Amino acid sequence: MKKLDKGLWMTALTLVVAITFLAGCAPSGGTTTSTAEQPGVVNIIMTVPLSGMLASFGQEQQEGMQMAVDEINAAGGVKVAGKNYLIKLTVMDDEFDASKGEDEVDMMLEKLTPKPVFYWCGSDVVGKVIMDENEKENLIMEIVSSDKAVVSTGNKLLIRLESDTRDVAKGFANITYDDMGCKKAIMLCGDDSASGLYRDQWIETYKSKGGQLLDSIDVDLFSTTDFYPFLTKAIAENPDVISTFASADSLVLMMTQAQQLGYKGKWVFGDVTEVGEVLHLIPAKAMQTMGTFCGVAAYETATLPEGQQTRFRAHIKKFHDKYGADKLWGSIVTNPYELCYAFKYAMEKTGTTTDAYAIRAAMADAVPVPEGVYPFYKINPDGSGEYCEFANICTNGVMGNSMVLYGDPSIAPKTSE
Amino acid sequence: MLLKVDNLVKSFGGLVAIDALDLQVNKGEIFSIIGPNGAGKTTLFNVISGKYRPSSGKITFEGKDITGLKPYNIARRGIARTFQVTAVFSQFTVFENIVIGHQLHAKSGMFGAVFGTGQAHKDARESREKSEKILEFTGLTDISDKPIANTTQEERKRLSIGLALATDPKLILLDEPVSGVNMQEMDGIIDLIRKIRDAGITVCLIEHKMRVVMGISDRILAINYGKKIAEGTVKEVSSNQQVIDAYLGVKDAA
Amino acid sequence: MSMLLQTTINGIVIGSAFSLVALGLTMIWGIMHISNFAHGSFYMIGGYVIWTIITLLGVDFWLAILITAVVMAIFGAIVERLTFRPAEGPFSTPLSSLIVSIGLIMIFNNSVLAIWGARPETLGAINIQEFHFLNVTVTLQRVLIVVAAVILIALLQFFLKRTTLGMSIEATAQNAESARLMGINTSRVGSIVFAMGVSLAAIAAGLMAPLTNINIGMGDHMTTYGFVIIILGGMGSIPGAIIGGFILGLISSLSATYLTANYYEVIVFGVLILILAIKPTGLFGAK
Repeated sequence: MKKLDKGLWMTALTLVVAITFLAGCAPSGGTTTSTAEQPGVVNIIMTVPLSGMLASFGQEQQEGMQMAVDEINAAGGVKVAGKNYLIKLTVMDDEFDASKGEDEVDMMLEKLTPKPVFYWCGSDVVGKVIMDENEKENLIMEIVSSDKAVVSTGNKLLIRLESDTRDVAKGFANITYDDMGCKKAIMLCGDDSASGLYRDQWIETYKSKGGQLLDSIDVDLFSTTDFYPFLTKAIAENPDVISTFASADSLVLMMTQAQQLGYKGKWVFGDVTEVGEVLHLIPAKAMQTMGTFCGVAAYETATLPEGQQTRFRAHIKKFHDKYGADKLWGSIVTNPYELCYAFKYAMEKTGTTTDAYAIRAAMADAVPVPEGVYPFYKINPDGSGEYCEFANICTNGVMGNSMVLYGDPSIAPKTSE
Repeated sequence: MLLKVDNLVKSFGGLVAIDALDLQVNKGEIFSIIGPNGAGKTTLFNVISGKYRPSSGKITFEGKDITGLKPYNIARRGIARTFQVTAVFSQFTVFENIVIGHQLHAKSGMFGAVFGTGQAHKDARESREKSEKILEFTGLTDISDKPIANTTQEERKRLSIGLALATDPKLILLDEPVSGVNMQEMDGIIDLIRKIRDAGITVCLIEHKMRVVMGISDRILAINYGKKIAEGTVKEVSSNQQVIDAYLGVKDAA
Repeated sequence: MSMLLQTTINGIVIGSAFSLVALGLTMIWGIMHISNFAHGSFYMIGGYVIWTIITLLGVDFWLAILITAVVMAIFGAIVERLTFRPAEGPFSTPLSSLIVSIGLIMIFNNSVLAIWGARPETLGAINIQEFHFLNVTVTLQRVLIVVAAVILIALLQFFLKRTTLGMSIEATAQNAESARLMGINTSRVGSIVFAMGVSLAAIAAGLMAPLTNINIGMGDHMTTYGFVIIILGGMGSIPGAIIGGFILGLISSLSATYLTANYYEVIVFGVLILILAIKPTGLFGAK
């Protein structure tokens, strides 16, 4: 009997440790406490994936939002009707699970005072559940979703900020055929649903232009043990270009290994990878022979209208100083950053911190925000955000000019300096 | 006195399998334990060999308290046992079984065991020589290269005794060593048990077949419902009325 | 023809890693009757450990493999002692070790996330010298993976057949009760086997690390394939794990090249079902 008790104890202990660990892993982003003048509080809540495969995606969103919150609070907070309010950010890990995220949002709405009016939802599996409720709860909601349909419901408090994967796919297919001149392609992409969306649209656009698709291969590029088997197959079919949808780390390994196997053709990446990242990861010596590849332009290197370049660099430096030089920076970070400022200006303009409908309507006018960097310039009446991305073609380590991949750069924000 | 058991109790939940049992086994004798089915004989072996912890009581071996020690520890102190259902290493040959039994018992230290140092090699050679002796002793030399799958029940009985002997025991516990063998083979095993005693190893035996028990035992312990009902020489026990009622009566009825 | 050769070589390279992973898994099952579903997580941690040793300490790749093997063996022994062992006992069921495994997966994944972060790590170029023959490409690292795996497998065989500790392990696998009566401390044998199994998985991860990136998901497939291999080869069978590992490596490579990578898992499980239909205990399973 004694032995059994001990066994149960240890098992229970293991579980307790596990649960504590999980709970401990969901960082809370709250930063502010009341000062002597007793400023008010405005709560922003956020659910993003902070564990599992999508954790880095969630972390980047959290960092962008946190950066804006810290800046606003450091500058004295939000000034509404003569009173100062500090922003308090609460972030929870939704584990990419709809019911978990829903519970967390319910809990935060119930426990936090004053009641939150702005919610950033970092994954559309959770968002699609909350979308039915947010108007009733007087809650402005941003949903990160590549599905355009989410803003078609007439929800007055909704904002959708995510480039549609299909628009990106179209952009890349056009560049592949027109700018790179590749007529025979192989599609090599992940076996998840997001990759599937990209793959189908890319193939459709590419074929409609007259491109020939030799093969389409789905592989779990993230956790595959070795790239050789399917690269062997792809290269044997002798394509001009291999179109992929994978992270930079996997891509560089694939490119290096394809080169070992004798591949001399070109590469096109999906919008998960910036060209700059790839350049950074390939050893300088190998770069001379790496051939031509095309991906999302790193903002640092993109050729942009006058004045923008300086602003970009200053902003990125600020970000890297705060979170570390190796942190990724891109629209995933800047979207929450800019939207947080839009929220601030909307409250100041409408003179309320509680009327979600008024604030939401004013947010559309607040965009683009003066603190903003290039990508995010407009919120459409239906709630979808417009921003711009570029692509760069790089040949043997030499970067070419930026091309518009998605969005309309002609309505870019007028800089204030 | 080699083994002494004092006031031993083993209960499983509410069921008392061994009830305040005392016994002692003297050096160099064949000591048999008899009793009807379910009397607690095998449980007693399991407690002595460390498979079960006793609920209370004390077991002394060579004057040292061994109560509650782990099986491997008790084995290292010199108590070996065999099972009713023969348990041998089924994927080795007869010879390999004995070698392994001996070699595992011979302590050549963790380091030597892993990296095969000089001492371990010497041990291995000694093990082979010793194993050949054991095979000869147990009458298995002719079948030493046979895989276990091809051996007869009697050969396996002998092998499990050989395996027990390979650990250089001072006391060997045999659980029904002649069950499942024919009359002629039985005589061979009885001779082997005598030979073991004559080689200076004390034997403690559980057996149902009275012909065997009465023929070879120096002393006998009779138990029923986990309690001692008689202990003494063959003559004393076989004339005990309680034994006749409890055990011999059952046998007649069967 | 050269594509067939290339594909076969690819399969042998992956098969080497599969074999090492499955060897540990099958030994742990054979000795301890634990279904270690956290085996892939140990593989993943092995990957992060070797990455850390190489990047932080800047040591040579092979020295790093050695350090990883030792560190992970100690780690495995500690984990076994603190989790699987206490869950064992007179009333434990096969479910006990399953629950422990699932707990470990959660702890490991989140610890890795907390320590190394969510972004994948890469080791960079190691042993990338190329050999070309008959239109086939092999890099030095790929050759070394196979060589290292074969040497390890041979050492393991020698260890199990020729050393006293190895024989204790074999004896415990065949009959734990008899082994105890031979004076073998079977729970210590269990610890050692668990440590070895974890170490083998970590070595496999270390060997493969230069070819792939190190990330949280890298072990997920390994657990699945590990179990497929040992079921295919016969639960607890060491030759089964070795041969099964190479069979699965070849299947994965051949099907990715000649059929389709999209249905690779369907093919793997199809072969498994076929083999089990013909021989229900697996290729090398007893009886």
